Amino acid sequence: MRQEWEREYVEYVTARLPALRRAAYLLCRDPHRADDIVQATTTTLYCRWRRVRSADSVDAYVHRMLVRKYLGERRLRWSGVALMPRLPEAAQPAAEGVEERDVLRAALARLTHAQRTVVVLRYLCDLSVPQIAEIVGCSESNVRSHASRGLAALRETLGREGAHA
Amino acid sequence: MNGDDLATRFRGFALPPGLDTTNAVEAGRRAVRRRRLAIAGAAAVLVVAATGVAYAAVIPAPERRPADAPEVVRLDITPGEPLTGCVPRDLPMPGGKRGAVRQDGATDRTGRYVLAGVTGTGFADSSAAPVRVLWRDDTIAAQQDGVQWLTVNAAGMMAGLETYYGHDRRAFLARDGSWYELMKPAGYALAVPAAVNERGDVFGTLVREVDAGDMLTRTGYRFHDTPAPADRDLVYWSADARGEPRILSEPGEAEAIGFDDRGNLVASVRTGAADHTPYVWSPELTSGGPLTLPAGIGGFRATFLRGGLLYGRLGELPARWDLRANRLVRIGDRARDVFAANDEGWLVYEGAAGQMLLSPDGVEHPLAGDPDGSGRLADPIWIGPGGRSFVAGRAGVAPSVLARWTCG
Repeated sequence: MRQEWEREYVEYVTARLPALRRAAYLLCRDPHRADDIVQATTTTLYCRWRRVRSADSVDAYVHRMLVRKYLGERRLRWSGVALMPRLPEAAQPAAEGVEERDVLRAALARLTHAQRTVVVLRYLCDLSVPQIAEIVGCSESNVRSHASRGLAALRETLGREGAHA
Repeated sequence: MNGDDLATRFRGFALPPGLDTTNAVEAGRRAVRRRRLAIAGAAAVLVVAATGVAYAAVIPAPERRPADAPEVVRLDITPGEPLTGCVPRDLPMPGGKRGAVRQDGATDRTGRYVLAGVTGTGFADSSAAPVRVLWRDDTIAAQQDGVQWLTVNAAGMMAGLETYYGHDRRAFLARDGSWYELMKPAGYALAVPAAVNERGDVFGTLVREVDAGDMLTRTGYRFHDTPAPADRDLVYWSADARGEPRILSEPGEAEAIGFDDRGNLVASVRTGAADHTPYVWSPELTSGGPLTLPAGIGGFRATFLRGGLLYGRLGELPARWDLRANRLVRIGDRARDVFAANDEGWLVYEGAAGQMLLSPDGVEHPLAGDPDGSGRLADPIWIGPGGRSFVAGRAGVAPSVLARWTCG
């Protein structure tokens, strides 16, 4: 039976890995840290997959794990270990993608930690306000407030970048 | 730009190649193998030496104390003057270190002892390895890495956890210069100390399975509220029994909160689909049980305790339960995140316009900037008598530091 659940896990992770890496990157703004966070998340997911796969919303559960790993990594970073070898020079994507990534990273850096987390969960991960409130451990009204202010700040920053371009 | 535009941009940028599915599956398989080896190893250790895991006596449920429902009052919030004239005095840093991580700081009730993690770069959000520091009277009394000091009492005794991932994280008590392991009953993955009283008794939470949502917050270790109550129990390590655990009987998912100013043990318990209810035991554990909730109130989610004031939430609203006067106070009419408070009722929350100090009678004071460039009082971990002194961050300056603030 292992093959069956593991096949399901591989299918799920294969489909979601790019989105999880994007979410982790937007949260921590570092591609290497993002991979560590996603690696830790998918490792935990593997260990729990037989239970998680029957959850009502697997995506919400996984995003919650991702955010918790990110928050835990922020607080307890000294005790973490590198989970995969890093190449001294990673292959570079197309220049256009790099520019957009840097613009988004700079814009997100201006948000508060809470705003950034909520904005990523809302607009990249497409989670509902109640789901985000549950994940980050605050009220729904706080989530709406963070999303609104975060979006306004991004609109201002990215709009200014666009005007200068 | 609206939310859809932002979502499109979020999904459109390129990341360098990195983690792939093969890595993810292999790491998962390795983790499972490690877990099986650890279980087998633990079984062998039990047979040979029975170290690290203790037999735990279960304390039967005490007689329930009849109690009246508390009086419920609403605290209306009125605007006040910004808090100004505050002078910081930075806590000294260990040699070669700059800046303190404050998210996981803690103090004793008097503010004399302060715990925090200090990074080497001056930024709390640094990847550098923090060292744990204990300050006594604003001088460094102890420092160590590889541990998470969670709580300290007014005698300087500390309880906490080891932080080495991949190992069985042991709970410990440090007192009189010695370290004592707080033994974990068999069948639990983790024992998390919540509070240590002046005698050296430790109250904590036992976890059968660590949840990804469990995390350390500015007011202590918090357990994730899953849809169904999780299997968590309460544990009491008496100073007389040298670390031998005793499990407290309660009917559901439990979380230790702390000792109140009369020595009672306070916890939050959730049963079935019900909301959280505070539970209180006498210091001798001979009487106790759930507090009586007022009519029409489904639950009170306790989060931390200061003296006789139990802070928490009524639904989304912040609230405090005065355990001595048996009075439940709803704080304002909007959801706010309270992250520091004292035993007089002074508290700090995240308001719409930044962090606010709220007096016990409901007057709100913005934590204003200091015009002389010495930074801004932010993220307090201790509030002194009268809301006039703080252990808090000094924001707006580099490096980020922890300071004792005195306000005129």
